[in-house]
Amino acid sequence: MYPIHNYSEPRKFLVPEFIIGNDCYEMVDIYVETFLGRRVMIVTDPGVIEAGWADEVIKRLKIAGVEYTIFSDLTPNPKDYEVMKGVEIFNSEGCDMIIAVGGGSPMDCAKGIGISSTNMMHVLEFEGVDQVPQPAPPLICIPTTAGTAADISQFAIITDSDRKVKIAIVSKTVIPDISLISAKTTTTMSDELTAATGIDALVHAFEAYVSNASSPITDLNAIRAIDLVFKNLLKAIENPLDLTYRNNMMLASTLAGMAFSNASLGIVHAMAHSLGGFMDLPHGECNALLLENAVEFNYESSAEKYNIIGRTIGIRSEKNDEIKHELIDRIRDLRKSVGITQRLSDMGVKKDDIGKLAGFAIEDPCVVTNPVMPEISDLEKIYEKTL
Amino acid sequence: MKKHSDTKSVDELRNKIIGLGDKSARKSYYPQLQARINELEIAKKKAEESENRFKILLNSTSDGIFIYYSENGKLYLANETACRMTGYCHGDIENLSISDIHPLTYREKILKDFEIMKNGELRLLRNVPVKKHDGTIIYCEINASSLKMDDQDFIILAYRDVTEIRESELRQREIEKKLNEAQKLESIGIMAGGVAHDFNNILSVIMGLTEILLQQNSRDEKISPKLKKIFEASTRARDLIKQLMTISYHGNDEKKPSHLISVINESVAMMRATTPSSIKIINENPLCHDLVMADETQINQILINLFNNSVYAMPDRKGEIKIAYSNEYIDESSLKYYPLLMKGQYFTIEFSDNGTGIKQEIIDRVFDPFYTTKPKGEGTGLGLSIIHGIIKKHDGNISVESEAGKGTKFIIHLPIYEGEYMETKSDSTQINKGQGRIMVVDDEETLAEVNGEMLKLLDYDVTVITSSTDALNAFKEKPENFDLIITDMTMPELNGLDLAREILGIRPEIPVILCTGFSDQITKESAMTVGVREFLNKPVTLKNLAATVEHILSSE
Repeated sequence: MYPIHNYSEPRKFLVPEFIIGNDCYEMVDIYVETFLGRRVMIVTDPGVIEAGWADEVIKRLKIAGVEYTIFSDLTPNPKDYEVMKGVEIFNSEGCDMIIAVGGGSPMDCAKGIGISSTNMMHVLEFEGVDQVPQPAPPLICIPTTAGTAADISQFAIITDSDRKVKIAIVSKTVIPDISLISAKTTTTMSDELTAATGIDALVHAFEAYVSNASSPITDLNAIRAIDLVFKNLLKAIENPLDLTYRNNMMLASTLAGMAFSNASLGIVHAMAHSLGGFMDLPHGECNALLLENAVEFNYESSAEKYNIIGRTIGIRSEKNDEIKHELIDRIRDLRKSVGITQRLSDMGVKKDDIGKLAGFAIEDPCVVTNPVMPEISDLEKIYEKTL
Repeated sequence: MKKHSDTKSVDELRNKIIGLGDKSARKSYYPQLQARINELEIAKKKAEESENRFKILLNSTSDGIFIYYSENGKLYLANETACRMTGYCHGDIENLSISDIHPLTYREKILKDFEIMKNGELRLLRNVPVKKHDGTIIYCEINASSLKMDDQDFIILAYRDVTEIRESELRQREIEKKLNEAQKLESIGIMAGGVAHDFNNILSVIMGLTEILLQQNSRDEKISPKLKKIFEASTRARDLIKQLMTISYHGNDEKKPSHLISVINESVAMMRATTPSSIKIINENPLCHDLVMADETQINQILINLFNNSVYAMPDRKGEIKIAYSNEYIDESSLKYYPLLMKGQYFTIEFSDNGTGIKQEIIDRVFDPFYTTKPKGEGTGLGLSIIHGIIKKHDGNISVESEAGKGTKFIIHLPIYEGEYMETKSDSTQINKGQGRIMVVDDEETLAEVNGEMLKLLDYDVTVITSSTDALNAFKEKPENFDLIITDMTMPELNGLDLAREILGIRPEIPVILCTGFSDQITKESAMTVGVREFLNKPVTLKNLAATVEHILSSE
């Protein structure tokens, strides 16, 4: 059942301190005091504020007598200028720590604000891997979606608004100091958001599992995350207030995060980043649409691992071809069952865009851990099939 | 971002992503923290050193530095010199405002000045009074500049203590004033003396001939009284000239070592008789050194003049005159106050009254000749100038202190005579005739003749010669024909002293009498070394001439 690992290449495993469990966000003031925060910047978005999760944090800060500044002037796929505006407010208000409350966008934005303010650099200057010289101020993440796992990962994805491309900042310095992970915060998500983020978690797990940098430890996390998503995503949508499914999805997201933060990702994310940056398309849906064709492209290079995934989700076939097709079917079924039925062309992607999209995607750092190194034409073909 | 085109860069990127790149290690920030702490420690040390240097610099200046808050005048910092200068200690001074170190009456003005200085329009204030902690006042020169520190405006003031410079300047001005005064008096004196000299010669003729006529007509009751009146009038004229010559410091005098207290006592006794009894005279007689080389007559004159002034200053004839004596050693430091004196031991007379006093605006003029506040006819304005002249001639000093309505005090310093006191015999009044061959030399024909006539009257054998070279030739021809030579001092070609020297070169034992007037710049001592036996002051009276000639010839 487990893939054989030869250990000839060393592996690292790094995750932040995190607390997982319902209501654990109520411990936020303890950590603010621990990090000697005197004026906190809360980075969130209007949706999260409306859902009342920012207020939960503010309530605790008020009890602790800590001052705060709210920054929520940001959009999905956070833009560089939004980050820099946050930096300006962080500095002018004399803030000394950050609490990110929300999904991937507020958390990535909070990471960008933190490193830009301490290093006094523009956020785009950190593009790439290990490009952040100094650590950020203390960062507490309270995720309110189950899928992005920015509260776990060493990734921050920011859109370069001039180049219309998502840049990846990969650094130990963007791993939060503490994450307070409570599935209760995900009960306010819409069906669409539950679906998109849930599929995002599935793609994280899939790509980390077949990554050429996977390790026995990331494998454990990834395979369990895949299992959990297949068994719980639909039920979470059908029973949005049932904490059992929400907890399982949150666990799946966290495990997938632990896996991909250490084993990295593959071409699905590379191509989704390109779509998100170039056309500002929702990350989760792009991932969902691309996964099937990516599996088809990658299967040969990592058949053993794909077979294990197949068996995990109950595929009984023995032949590789059959397994591959069943696996792709199962992914498609899940996607459609959670309501992601459109194609890239429905979202406005045109055939003419493909060359450019593939050009950006081939430069994405996620490409290098894909089980097989693709040519640009390979990526064009996948975009075409998904159109 | 790097292109993934080659395998090597792909591998590198992959390594970094999976946390195995060169810089992928999670940092321990302890070393950075330690380095930062070290940097801060060094910075702190540097700041301390810099502060130390600043303090050394601040405290090494001889100026008192005050730094105060521009907006409220409160002191922020003062250096050591500032504390020493004002007598405050550090803790106290920093609780003060800048105006507190100035006298109350000056505060409003100084604050206004500082306000102007704040704008940079004024940089230096001179002679600003500063009130020390103990209340004494010093004077400072203040230099200002402004400074911004920690977003606050400050004014830096450098106070330079100029009290001593100021005092010495004032003193210097006082000395210059005194010297100017002395110079003025001296030039007036020279002028008066010059006039007196010519008058003397004229008087000598009048008096000499009058005396001759008196001798010849002593029994003629018609002529004799008239001649006596001429002689008396001439005598008064001679006395006035003598007074004028006293002012000029050059008049001949009869100085000898005198115990001044007894001399003054005599004058006081005399004045007591003529002073209204309602004026109390206090004459203290302490034990002190009073031996001074002095002309007693002139000292007497000083006392008379001072008495007269004091009595005049008491219109209701009520008051007190006090005379006190003391000894004072004038050293380097007191020379500042008496620039005309020499270092040494002095006999000091303080003559004070409680009369009307002298108004401050005229006090500088009281020693000027002919300056008087008395109505016309009541005073000549010579009294105090004569006193000044006499004191000057005695190498002394007179100063005056007075306050209108309270009285006046004259302080006289006369140098103590270090030699011995000698009793002197009083002159006889008898005119005696005698015998002897006398040569009389004077370039002024009338004077020569008058002197010759006087000697002939006394039965001497007289040869009158009006040129010094003729006189020398006559003597050379028959040196044995003369028993005595009487010569004038001031003559063309060969003066009296040169003539005496020549004659004494031929006959060292022959007595020579030198007649001297005011303008003759000769001392008895220098004449005595040449061999001159005796002096006669012009105008020469018959009595004087007779006594001197008799005295010399009888001792031959």
